Amino acid sequence: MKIKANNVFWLLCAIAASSSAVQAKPLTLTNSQFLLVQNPVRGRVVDAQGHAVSGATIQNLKSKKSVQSDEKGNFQIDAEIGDSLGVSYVGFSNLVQPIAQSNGQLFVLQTNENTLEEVTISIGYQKIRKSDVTGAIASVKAEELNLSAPKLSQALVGKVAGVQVMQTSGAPYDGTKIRVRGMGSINAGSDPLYVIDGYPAGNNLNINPNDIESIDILKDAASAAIYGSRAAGGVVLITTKRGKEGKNNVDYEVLGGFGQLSKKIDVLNAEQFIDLLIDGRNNSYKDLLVAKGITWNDSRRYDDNKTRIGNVGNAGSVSIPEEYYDFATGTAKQSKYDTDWQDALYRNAPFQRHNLSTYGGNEKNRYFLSGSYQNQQGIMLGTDQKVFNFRANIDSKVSKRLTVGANVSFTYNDNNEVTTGRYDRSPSMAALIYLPTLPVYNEDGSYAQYLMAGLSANNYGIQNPENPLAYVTQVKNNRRGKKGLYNAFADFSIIDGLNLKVNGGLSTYDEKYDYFRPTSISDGNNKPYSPQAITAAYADAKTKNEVDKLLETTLNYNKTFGEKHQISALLGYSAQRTDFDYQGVRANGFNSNAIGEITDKGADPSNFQLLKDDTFKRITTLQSYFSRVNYSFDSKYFLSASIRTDGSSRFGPNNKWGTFPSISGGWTISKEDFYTDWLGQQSTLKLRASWGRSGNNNIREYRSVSVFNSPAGVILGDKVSTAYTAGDLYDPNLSWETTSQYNAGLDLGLLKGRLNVMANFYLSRSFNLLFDQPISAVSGSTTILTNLPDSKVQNKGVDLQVDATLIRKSDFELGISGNINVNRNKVLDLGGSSTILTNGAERSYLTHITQEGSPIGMFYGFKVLGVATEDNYKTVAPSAASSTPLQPGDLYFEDVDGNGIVNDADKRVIGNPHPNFTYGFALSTRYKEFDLRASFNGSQGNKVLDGYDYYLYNMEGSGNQYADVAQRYRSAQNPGNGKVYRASRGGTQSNSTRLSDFYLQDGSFLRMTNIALGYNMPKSIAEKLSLSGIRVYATVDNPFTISKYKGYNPEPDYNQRGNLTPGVDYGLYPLVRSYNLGVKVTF
Amino acid sequence: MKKRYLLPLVLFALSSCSKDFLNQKDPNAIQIEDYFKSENDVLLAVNGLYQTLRSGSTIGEGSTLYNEERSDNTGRNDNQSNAGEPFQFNDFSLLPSNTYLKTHWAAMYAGISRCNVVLSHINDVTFSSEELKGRYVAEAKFVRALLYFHMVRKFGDIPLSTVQVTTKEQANELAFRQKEAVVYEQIIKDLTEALSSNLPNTQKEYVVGRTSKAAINAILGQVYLTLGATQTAGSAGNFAKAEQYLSAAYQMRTFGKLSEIPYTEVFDLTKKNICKELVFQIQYKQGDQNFSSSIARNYQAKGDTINSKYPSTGVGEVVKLDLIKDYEPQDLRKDFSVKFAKDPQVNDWYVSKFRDNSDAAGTNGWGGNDWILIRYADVMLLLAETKYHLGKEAEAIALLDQVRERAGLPSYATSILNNEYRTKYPTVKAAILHERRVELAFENQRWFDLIRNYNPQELVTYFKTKNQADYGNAKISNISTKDRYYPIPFDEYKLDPQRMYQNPGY
Repeated sequence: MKIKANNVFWLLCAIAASSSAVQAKPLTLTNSQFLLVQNPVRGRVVDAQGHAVSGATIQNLKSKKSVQSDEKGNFQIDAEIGDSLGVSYVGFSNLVQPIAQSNGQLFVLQTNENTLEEVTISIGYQKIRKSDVTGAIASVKAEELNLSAPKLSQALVGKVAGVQVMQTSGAPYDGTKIRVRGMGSINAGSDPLYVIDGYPAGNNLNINPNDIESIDILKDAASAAIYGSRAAGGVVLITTKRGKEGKNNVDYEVLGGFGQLSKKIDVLNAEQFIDLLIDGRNNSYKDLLVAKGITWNDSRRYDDNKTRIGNVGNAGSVSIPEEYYDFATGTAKQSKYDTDWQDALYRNAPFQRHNLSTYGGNEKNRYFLSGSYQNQQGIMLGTDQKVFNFRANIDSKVSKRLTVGANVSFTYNDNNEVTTGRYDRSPSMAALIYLPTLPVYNEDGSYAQYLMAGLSANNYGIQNPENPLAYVTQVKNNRRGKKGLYNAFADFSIIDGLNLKVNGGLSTYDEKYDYFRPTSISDGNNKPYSPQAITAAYADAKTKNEVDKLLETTLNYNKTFGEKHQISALLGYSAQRTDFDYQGVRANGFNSNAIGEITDKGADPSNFQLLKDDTFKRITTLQSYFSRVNYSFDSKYFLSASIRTDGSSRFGPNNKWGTFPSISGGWTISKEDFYTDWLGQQSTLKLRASWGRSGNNNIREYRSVSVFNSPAGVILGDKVSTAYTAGDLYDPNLSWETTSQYNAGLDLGLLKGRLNVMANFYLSRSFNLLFDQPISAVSGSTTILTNLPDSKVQNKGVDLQVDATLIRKSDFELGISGNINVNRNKVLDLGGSSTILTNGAERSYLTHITQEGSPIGMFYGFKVLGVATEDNYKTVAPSAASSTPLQPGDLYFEDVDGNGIVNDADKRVIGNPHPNFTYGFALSTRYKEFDLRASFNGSQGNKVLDGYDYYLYNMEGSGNQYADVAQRYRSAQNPGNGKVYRASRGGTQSNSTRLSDFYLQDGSFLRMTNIALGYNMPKSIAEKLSLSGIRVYATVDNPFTISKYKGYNPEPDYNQRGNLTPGVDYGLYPLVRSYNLGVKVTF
Repeated sequence: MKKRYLLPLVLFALSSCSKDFLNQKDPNAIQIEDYFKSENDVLLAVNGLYQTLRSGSTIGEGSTLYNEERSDNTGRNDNQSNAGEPFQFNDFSLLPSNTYLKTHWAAMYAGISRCNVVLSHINDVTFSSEELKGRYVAEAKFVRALLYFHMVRKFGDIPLSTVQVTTKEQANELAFRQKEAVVYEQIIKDLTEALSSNLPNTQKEYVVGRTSKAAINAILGQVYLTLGATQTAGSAGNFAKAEQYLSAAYQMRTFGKLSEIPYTEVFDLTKKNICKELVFQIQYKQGDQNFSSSIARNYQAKGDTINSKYPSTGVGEVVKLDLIKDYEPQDLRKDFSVKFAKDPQVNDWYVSKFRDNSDAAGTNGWGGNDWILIRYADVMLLLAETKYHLGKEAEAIALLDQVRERAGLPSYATSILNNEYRTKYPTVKAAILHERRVELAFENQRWFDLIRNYNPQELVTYFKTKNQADYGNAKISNISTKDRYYPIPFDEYKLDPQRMYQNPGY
């Protein structure tokens, strides 16, 4: 038992270490020709490192008899010297070798990672050899993932060319965002389709990262077309681990560590803030006086608040709290506190994960079972997530012709969350604008609340967030989800090569969300426990219930004719139905916080209300027919074609069905006779080309038939009466959005397979775009979700993946891999619809433009020419929308049309939210038992609109500001850094209520996403502990980010406000840097 | 052997498909085409039309921005809040891209389209009595006419639709500006037809909050008065019609002289269902967190509790000094309507006309104030204005005097002898306009009164004679003749710049 386990341990090590194209030279066999023919023959199967391979199948190719190797890799088979033995084992290339000696001959298996041969990859409903691929498919094996990351998707960051995986939030319960090859849609979702072990499963991906065997991403439309109407955003195929023939294995892994705020934002200290406050109020007072025709002189600075308000009103713009300003002398008072709110709100947060898995099997039955528990505290007080995972994958060969199996997985998560967005609901934003002059705690140790809101309530023009620490600790925000995936299949071989497979399954998701806002939180300008705070207290209880059913039947035909013609064909039918059943209720009238559940609401029945947007039933159905044929000749020429027809309940009666064809081909030049290694010895070269069409149906249900709204109330005759109103206009012709894509690719294997290059060029066009098209209000609506006829959005680009093994010695290995994606997005045609202007930040004004000839969602606004000076402020063009005349120290903007005034006509594209390129790279090295891996990703050349700066960079002093506000313009003698405009609480020419390039920042960054150092304990030590293997490792996630960006994270969330407003960073949970230690024990 | 396994697999595979698999209807909502089945369905949809009027984006309480804050009565000094957009209305720096403007436009047309849906489907339903059906038709036409009347005065030429829109193509066809005269024709048609129903004369005989013949007459009269005052052609005929309908409304009153109803009683919550002056109002429910009025608390300034027990922290609804100075001495309405907030952080006038500081409304300020759309003082002054135009000055003055008497002011004949009064209001027309200003202050009449009484050039002249210091931070000098109309919202204009042409000057 011990010895057997050892073998497996070494096997695991071998797999783990093989990711950078491990291909050690085969050990030379000592051929002995002098031995007598004996019966039986004894031999041993080992891997390239000489470690035993147990469970390998050894077949005498003459007699067709087969046996398996034991724990030490030894086997015994009836054969004669000279017979050929075939040796095979999962994860290794098949070996055919003649018997040279009757005893002790070594059969050395080569791991098959990163060789073009034999590795199979998922292409949807089928697997094919990697060497047969004709589309653009990126494949990631488990060993390449950063498994110390708490989320599967985080483990993928920077690993795949052409797939942008973005870490947009550091909250323990938030995932990453994935975009495949740019944005093709303007209104419909652009998330990829996730398929887990063949089950299209939505994007709730709380899957245990340790269960992953491989991830294959179908990037080009030809590959994705087999998933038809859901594939325009790409398809991510996740394959989980299954049992293998051989001994039973038990792995236990524990990982623990802590996370911390990955970056602190520089803000003003108390003294600098007070200076800004006074400066801004006095400037505002001056502006308002001058506007009223009253002359300003410097002694006005000594006017007390009453005088100021009496003169110009606008208390919030001109008055200064007495504790900060000595009116008699016109000087600042010193603050009693200088609080660093970020230090107060963020903590070192512990993390732990336990994972136990067992797998094994025999010729008939195989199993993989795993369970894991993960507990991650958030770096922000009051946030955490606990996740429980369970999985069972079973395969059983019932008879020679019938295989049945089941995949069952279950995840339970329990999250404590915080809200994000505006400062009054985003503690991360509140901690930045909260005044440094205010304390965190009262003297008795309780949270000092309502201090900032108190200034607001007294009309001092200060924002009114609650103390963020009080907010996160007192507000309850809990989400518990249960996700189950239950899938069973039967595979029946009708005749050799022809299989009928039936796959049926159920996916369920149940969620309970509880929220309670207690009376102890201030409500805007009203105190904690005030009647208004009591009224504002509420509890939400929301349940989600989703059941998805899938039935799928496929016929597979595989046949080789005349040695060289290989054909594989697929014919399939699938039907899928998802039922959503949501309820949400809100309770008010809380008089105490003791319970904090809806049950504790006030007695008046009106304290219960249905949350309309959270209460509904929906059904969505999809019915599909699909087929694919792959043909190859002599492993040299490949041809593949597929077609899928989807019918969806989401679309109008006239447009329910859509057809999505594809065709692709490949040519392995290096197999041609004329090739003769002209790229070097054992080099390989393959060309690929494809075209395909895929669809996007990522829209809400029931958008093609107009309905009445839920009943509202009206008071008639002093009584509440029910009122029905007609709802928005829906388009009965609503249909798919379609993407058509060409892909050309090149696969190169150089230096005997030590350098592999995969390059893809693509051109894709999306048309019939789904769009909330503006429509005349005479329709009763202002927009209608419809397909824009003749509309086209183009994405073209290159993605390039390089894997190189620089050094490969028995004790030392060094590998490097990298990828880069260059994507260019362009709107070719808006189908007669005019330019689309959208607002993407917390502003009512517009920030983005989508127009023909440029990329989707370009930043739109004014170009800053500089800070006005005493010399030029009367001559440069003033702004039409501003009520205060231009002053020295204000920004002034380009007057594009030269009409002497800056107005809407002078707005133009001022920045590009799309990067020039994105990239990722990894270094991995191994020295004896030590291994080290470092991964990086980055983005170059994109602009980011920092949503925080609406508060953090407005020079108003209504909340704290970025540190460089201290470098602002004060006077001609003291112009600051020449960039930051003057302080003013009231509206100035340069205020933050319009978008100018002042508010755009360079979003380029390079981030080290992970570094991991591992040590595999020598076998001898493990054995002493009665174990097969021990691995210890240490990792750091997100150790550093190089970027000029002022906010927390330059990687903005494309999903946040839709495709039309990319590149906006707004109030999200900051990223985490985490340090972890792990131990993996194999029994 | 083969069949043993194959058969169940095939059966399983084929057993799932039902015919309607792909035809899914929204289980939570009724399709518009399936909705109208019974009389009650129509009633609930007509209720929906009144519900539309409650919104601050249409003409409910809180729609002040689109009327009163455009005028010389109120307006904000704060040019910062909400990107300074609300400030633009008062500052005459309104941009077509102003989002508040678009919201108003869209909400008004949404209401109109709801009326169109009801009127397009009412024939689907068999009624027990034609009279009942006639009432519902009249109510829908009244609401539609009321909304169009607001829109045509604010925007001038506007798109006109009287049918249910079912496709985007149909919407595009209808989206073109029709001449004001055409819109007025439709308004008159709707109101005239509504009058032919058997609606009761007053809302109290029907249901408070629903329309009545008095309300229809009042609006129709105002439509003709507006036409007469602003269109040169056919003005005599229009004034005559205005007199006819306003008189008809006046005759439907259930009191004798206006002074029978004290001014404060008009706004007294306890009388809102019985007050004889009220012709048409939007009702709110005291103490109800969903259906209460928030006007009392929203208008109240920091430091005061006269409007509401709600502790205000802002400046409330700011009143311009220009209006304060327009109140005559001894006018009883002044102290009721406006108040000076002494709080050092406010130091300004605010609106105190809408009050509910009862315990029932409480510290949350869940008030019960109804939002009055038509009342008799308004009807009488409109009638006075009409009579003035028809040369019936004595009758006009008689009506004017009724209003003045209730306010504790001397008669017109006495007042005109007063030098200050005579200088300020040299004509009967000016006197009526002034009376309307103080009588109906903050009731969203002022802007319409100004654009009815002044042509664009006169409007500019009128504003420019004002003292900037009495006007707050909004700049009077910004006004020009373009400001007679609001701009067409940019998004709407952009859909079809030819047929949705912009108003001049924007």
